[in-house]
Amino acid sequence: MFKKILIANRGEIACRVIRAARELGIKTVAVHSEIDRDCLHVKLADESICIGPNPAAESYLNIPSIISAAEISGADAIHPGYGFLAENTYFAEVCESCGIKFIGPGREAIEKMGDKIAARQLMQKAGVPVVPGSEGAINVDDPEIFKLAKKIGYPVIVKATAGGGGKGMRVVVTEEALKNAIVMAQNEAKAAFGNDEVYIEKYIEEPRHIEFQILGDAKGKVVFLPERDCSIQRRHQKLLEESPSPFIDASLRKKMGKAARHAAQAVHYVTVGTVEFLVDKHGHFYFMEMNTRIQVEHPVTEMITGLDLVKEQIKLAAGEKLSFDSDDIDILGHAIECRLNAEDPDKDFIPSPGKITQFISTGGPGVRVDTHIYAGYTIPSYYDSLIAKIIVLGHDRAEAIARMQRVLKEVKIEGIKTTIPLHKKILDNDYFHRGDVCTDFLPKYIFGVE
Amino acid sequence: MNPEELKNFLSSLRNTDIEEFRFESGDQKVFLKKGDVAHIAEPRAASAEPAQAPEENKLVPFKSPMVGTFFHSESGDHPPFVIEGNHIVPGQKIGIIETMKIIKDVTSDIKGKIAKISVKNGQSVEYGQELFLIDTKPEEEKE
Repeated sequence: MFKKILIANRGEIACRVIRAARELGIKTVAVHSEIDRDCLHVKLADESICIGPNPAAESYLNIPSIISAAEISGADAIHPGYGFLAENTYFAEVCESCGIKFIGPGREAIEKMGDKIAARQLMQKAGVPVVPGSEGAINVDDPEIFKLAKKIGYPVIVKATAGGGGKGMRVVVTEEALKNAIVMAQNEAKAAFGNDEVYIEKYIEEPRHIEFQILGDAKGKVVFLPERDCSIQRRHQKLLEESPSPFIDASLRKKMGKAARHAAQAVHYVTVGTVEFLVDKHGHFYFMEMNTRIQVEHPVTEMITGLDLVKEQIKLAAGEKLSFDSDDIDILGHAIECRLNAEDPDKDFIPSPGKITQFISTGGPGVRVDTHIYAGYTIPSYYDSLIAKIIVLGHDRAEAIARMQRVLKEVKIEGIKTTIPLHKKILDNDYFHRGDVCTDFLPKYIFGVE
Repeated sequence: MNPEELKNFLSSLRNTDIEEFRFESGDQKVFLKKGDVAHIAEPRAASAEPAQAPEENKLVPFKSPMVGTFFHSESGDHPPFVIEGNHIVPGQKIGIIETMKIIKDVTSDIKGKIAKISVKNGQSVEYGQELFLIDTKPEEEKE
């Protein structure tokens, strides 16, 4: 087992990893930028090292600085959290060559799943259903693309191979708009990821975003856990997640879970990861992508299974074997997570950094708050706007909804704007109560009806 | 003069072209120079001198540009690059930081005198950690 883990991240996920490590008896090293000196993860860790100035590129993305910090602190493992360097194959490689264990899958798995086009091809070979689409990257000047788009059937979506976070995507409804959409997506992809390769796929209408948490050990065993429904998104950023999905029944869960397992085994996946699918209204599911890291919404699965996914991740990275099977895991109820962002929902979600003058948390049975904020803390403007995750567990979906409604009334964060009002609207919405939730939920039922 | 009288007097003086004005009466002394702050001496034995501006903070911390292990000298038995009291100029090498088996020079970006060496030889340092305190307004170096 590791003696000391350096957490190459900040905020709530860094706190999460520190807690898991501490319970495993492992020492922790926090790294931080100058402005993050007072961030909670720095206070929680056993040691802390300032690794650079405020911009992420010079601190949390600064590989030499992070590796140096591991060296001088004597850390034998690095946990990358999510975002930042979590899916950076070069970073995983550098850790390996410096004799530091990267707590995540091998470099190859990250690489194979990070390239969306290659991942699609790999999944097709593995017998995992994929969204019908182009075989590889497309060339805007190739006349064949029109034939292909017609064959797939409009509407289609143009997507960046190096993409994520909703960038480099364009939905195309008619043939006339195809060429322009490709050029626009390419430009956006080049600017965001430095790679302008794009491919096209069938655009699934009224899709649900359903993902499966998987765990893999070094012996090749992979276990899948009950699905998370992450359909409520704004510009492809998840806002609310729940488990199990109100749309998935036991038989579809089994089919999709097995497909997720095949996907993970195709890249010999070790530690934790998530396989994402799109599900249409008929229950047909298609592989979308695999996230080769611990995710923001992992607590939802922890609540309904009783597992500690970060502890499991650390143990698996240290070479331990999986001690359970998918069938051993019971669904303990229904969980919902609301992501609270420091954004003003009345001003088109403009970021709202600043000093938190008051913070009143919530509590009671089945309530969990994962956050790094505290009264008096100043949210910096350099990093993402996620400030807290509130997760509830209920006996069933109705109780989980009622519990979250209660919790959202109790939580008080003052001094900045947050998305709490938006979550209240979602939790009060009839369509949400009925489980009538697809990825167009927000524009259709919340924003459209203002 | 009482304070109120003095205030009125100073007001009227402002509108004249008198550049300097000195008034002494018993233990009341007033010295006024246009452009400076008027200074009124308390009734004391000490002679009134114009107050000096507080000394500017001339000690500037020199911060580490990176994470690593700091060394005062080249490896082996070499003498340190600088010791306390040395005068330094921009571009002068004042230390080295080792990280991942790579040695990086630490060079001064300012002129001054080493007032304090804030870290030990071989100490691990973080980004922004104070390595030296530099006196930027030292007296002339004695030969």
